[in-house]
Amino acid sequence: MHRPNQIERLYIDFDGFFASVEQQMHPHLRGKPVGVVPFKDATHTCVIACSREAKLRGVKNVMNIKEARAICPGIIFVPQSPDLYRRAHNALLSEISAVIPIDAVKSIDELTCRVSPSERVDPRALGLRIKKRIVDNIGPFITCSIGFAANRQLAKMASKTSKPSGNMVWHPDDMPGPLLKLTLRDIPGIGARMEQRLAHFGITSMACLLATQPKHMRKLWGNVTGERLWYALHGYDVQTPPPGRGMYGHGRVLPPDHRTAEHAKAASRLLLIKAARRMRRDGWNAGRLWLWLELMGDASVSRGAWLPAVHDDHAVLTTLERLWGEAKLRLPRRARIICLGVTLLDLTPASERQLDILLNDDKQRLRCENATTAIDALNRKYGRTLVSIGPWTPPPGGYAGGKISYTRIPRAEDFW
Amino acid sequence: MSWKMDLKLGDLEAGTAIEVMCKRCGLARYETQAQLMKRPEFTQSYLDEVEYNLHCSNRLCRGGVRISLIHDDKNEGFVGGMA
Repeated sequence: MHRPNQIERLYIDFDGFFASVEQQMHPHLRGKPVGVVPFKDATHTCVIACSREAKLRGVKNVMNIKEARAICPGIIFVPQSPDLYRRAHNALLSEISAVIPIDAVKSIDELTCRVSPSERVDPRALGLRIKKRIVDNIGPFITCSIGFAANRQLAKMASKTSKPSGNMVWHPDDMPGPLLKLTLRDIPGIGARMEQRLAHFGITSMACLLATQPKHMRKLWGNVTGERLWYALHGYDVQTPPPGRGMYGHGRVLPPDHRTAEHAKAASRLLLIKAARRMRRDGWNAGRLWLWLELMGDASVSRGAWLPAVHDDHAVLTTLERLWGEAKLRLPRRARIICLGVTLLDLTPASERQLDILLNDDKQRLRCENATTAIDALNRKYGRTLVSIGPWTPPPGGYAGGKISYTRIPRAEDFW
Repeated sequence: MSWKMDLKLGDLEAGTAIEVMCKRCGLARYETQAQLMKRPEFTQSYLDEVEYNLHCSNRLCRGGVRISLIHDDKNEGFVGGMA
């Protein structure tokens, strides 16, 4: 682990990404306070993202819709368009790649790059080139904040301090000056609970935190993250190893008129097929299936079942049917299912299927896998779910299985 | 100048996934660089030329398409909130 004495990393964070993409796409939203909400006519949920104009009026992300409207009466709520954000993300990444190679994509609106030795002399100029490229080829309404520092963590913090549309350089020679102006909550990875925990040990400011020892930080965090954070804050080029793939799954909140067991079962089938499709695409088999149902009144039912390292739709749907049989026995009469989820776990590479000595299913498995491959090919050819095993009834609201998360930017086929 | 005018198809790695989406009907399909390179007219083409010469795979549509690169392999989550 070395301690760079030059700028080595940059971090790009797009400002109010979802809202700014909407403003870029829809001219009537430009210059107005915009809040992106999960679905059309939503009233009892929260704002997923808001535009710069809305933020200036006090609206925040994850704010209740009613509260947002009370603070900013002129706010325009637009339903989310995950496919549009996905396409904007791909276009932006391609444009940025034309200026500098991308090292890692951290989420749909955050990415990091290594700064080449020739660019380290004048990182601000590199930042301006990236911004100009985005303005020229994508549009002026999608803006980003860029941070330059010795490592990813500091670069990310630098980008956050310069929002919106900033271009901040934290040179190693200037450290820890810029850090001392920040609070503990400004450090990514420190939330309210960790802040309380640190306060309990007398660490209430950035200066106190920087004065600790690496092993002390490890003890405070209870794991290696604390020690890594210490090294990152002190300018070492440390980063966490990328986590391996552990599961594939989807969850869904059901609309009020779709909270019966029948509707939930139909939604779970669709979500499971989509999860299995993604798993196959990435070349994995699953060894376990988990179904969970959250009921009205804080109750929940969950069931799991072993799978013989499979990835075909027939195998996972047969097991899901069995799990529903077990779950229904545990559901109260007239149960109202608010949300549900299916998860495929215990992943093993599809190319290395370990046969079970007590289960001679290889011949049947191959038949089912061939059928699934044919189904996938047909669906891919026609760009929609043309063929499926059993009924295909998407839940209201659309975008089932197309959720955008930190580790996942969906593909077009995830929306079929 | 867009990234498509900067890059030739031959500059991409053979396994690079390219999303081809119809601008008229929205039908999306995926091609790899290796598949497209099999077409002789694309071997020396820039990506904007590739885009211009590709069409929607629905034979009743045949609309113009928009291509984009898939960057799935670069995705990396946050571990313990650290970048």
